[in-house]
Amino acid sequence: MARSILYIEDNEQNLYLITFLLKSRGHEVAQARSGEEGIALAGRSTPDLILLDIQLPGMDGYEIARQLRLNPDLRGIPIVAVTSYAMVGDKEKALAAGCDGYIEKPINPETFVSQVEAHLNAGDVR
Amino acid sequence: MRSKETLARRLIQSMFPWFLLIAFGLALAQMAVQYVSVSNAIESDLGSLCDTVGQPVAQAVWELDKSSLQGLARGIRQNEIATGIQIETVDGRVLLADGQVPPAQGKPGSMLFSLHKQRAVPLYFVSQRGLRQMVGNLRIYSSPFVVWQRIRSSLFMSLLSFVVLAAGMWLLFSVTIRSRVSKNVQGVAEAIAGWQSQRLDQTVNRIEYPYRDELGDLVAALNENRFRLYESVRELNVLNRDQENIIASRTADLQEAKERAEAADRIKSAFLATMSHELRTPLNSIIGFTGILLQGLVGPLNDEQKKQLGMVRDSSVHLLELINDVLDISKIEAGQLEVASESFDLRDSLQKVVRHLGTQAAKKGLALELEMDPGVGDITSDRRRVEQVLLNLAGNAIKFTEQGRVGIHCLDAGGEVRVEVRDTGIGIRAEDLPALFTPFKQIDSGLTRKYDGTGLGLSICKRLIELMGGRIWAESAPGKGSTFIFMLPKGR
Repeated sequence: MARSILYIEDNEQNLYLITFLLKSRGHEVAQARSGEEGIALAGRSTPDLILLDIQLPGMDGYEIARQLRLNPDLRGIPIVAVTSYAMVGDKEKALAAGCDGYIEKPINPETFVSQVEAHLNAGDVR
Repeated sequence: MRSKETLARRLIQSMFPWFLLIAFGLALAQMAVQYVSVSNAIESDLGSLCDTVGQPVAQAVWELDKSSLQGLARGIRQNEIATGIQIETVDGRVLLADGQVPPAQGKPGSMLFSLHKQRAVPLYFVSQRGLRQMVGNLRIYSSPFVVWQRIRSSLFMSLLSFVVLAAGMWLLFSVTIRSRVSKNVQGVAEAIAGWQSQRLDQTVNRIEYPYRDELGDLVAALNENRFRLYESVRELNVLNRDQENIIASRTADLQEAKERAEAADRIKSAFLATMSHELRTPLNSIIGFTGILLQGLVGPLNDEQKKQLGMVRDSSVHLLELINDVLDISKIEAGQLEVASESFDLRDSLQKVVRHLGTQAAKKGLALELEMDPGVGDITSDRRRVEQVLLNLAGNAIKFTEQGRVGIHCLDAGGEVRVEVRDTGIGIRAEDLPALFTPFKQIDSGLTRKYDGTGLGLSICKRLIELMGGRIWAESAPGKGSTFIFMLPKGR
């Protein structure tokens, strides 16, 4: 079932890669290259899921997650962090900022879409 | 502390009884001398009295004129020194006794009168023809009371004068002692009290004492000792200051070194985080796009393209493992690695690892077997880390085994689980076993770098197992395969 996914990421190659993977499984992908852009886009289009890079110039992923959670319209939307931060406490920090999931980079291209879809289905249950 | 009692007062007080005693002694001696001289005077008076009255008394005795005798006796008694009088005949008959007359020697009561002075003179009657004839004896007595009467007044005078003299001398003495001894001692005592209000490392005035006596020696010794004390305390202070400076500078050095080390550690951690992130971002693209191509999402691939892209994928996965290992070991070294404590089914983890490595084993034609005791189930530990260790050990076993099989055996060992990973590979020499778990030590198997890997895997396994409260070791012999065993507590 096709769903709309917002992906906030500043790295062009990663943006292309993940957009390609998601689209190849039939999902719609909206791209944002910064926190501000992503928050504005999320407010307008109300996606089914938001994928979020953590290391972004300016506003970082934790801050974006916190801002997104302030918008009552986006309350039920799962936010999944996709990050190459892998130090102690990174996952906890992401969850504390309001993320629902955490996928470490580099992604496994064979399982990535299923991992994302798992959060979509969890969102349906909710 | 300064005492209230003065040395002089104590000296004077102790001397006072002696002064009194001496005064009394001198008074008594004076009295004795007076007594003797008065006694002698009385005796001679008695003698002259006898001589004076002898002739008339002899006349009366001769004439046996009693009334005349009594008159004479009264006359004699008029003299104050004559307290008793007795006139006897030659044959001892008492013609007259008047006043206090002691009984004859040997009679009772004679002792009482032993102190009485007496003078006896024979009475001679001289006839007109000049014949002398003894007619009797005249005894005149003088009682001790007479002597006492005489010396009494002078005795009190002399006693008083001696007491006054003694008191005067005592006063003079005490004033002298006070002014000489007490003043000097007090001066010294005050100087010492002045010292005591000063710190020991301050210079103080010497105590001045002009005389070369015992006190002078004492003062000299005090001055000397105070000076030595001052010098010692000064030296000690200097020594202490030096020590303090040394300690302070060393503490500062250590603090600086510690701060440098901590800063270096922080830089290292930050560097590793950054490097890890920076390496993973391009790796993400490589692995991701390779995966997309290999999955045929872009279009069909021919076999050669699949083979080469597979190699790209394997290499990038290996590179990822290297990055992860380096990151892990540096986190462990920095004490930053934390292990979770979650309940999970160990059987799931074991099956997952076997599934994951199944293809790899199959490619080499190795059998990968899993055996689990019925008692093995949920444990509380760090699932991800346990799986990491299992993957590493089983992966190694497959890597170092050319033919045969790799077996994972999980046993229930009471409060612990025992996991054995057994292979039929090249084995390890006994001398190489201890170095197995140290970082960057891939054993030189004679086939150097045939087996790729960081050499970090086992040392990471060891640290992780230990962090989770377990232990790990290996048993092996060359050509006989190896067994890696770890014990892990079921609960934490």
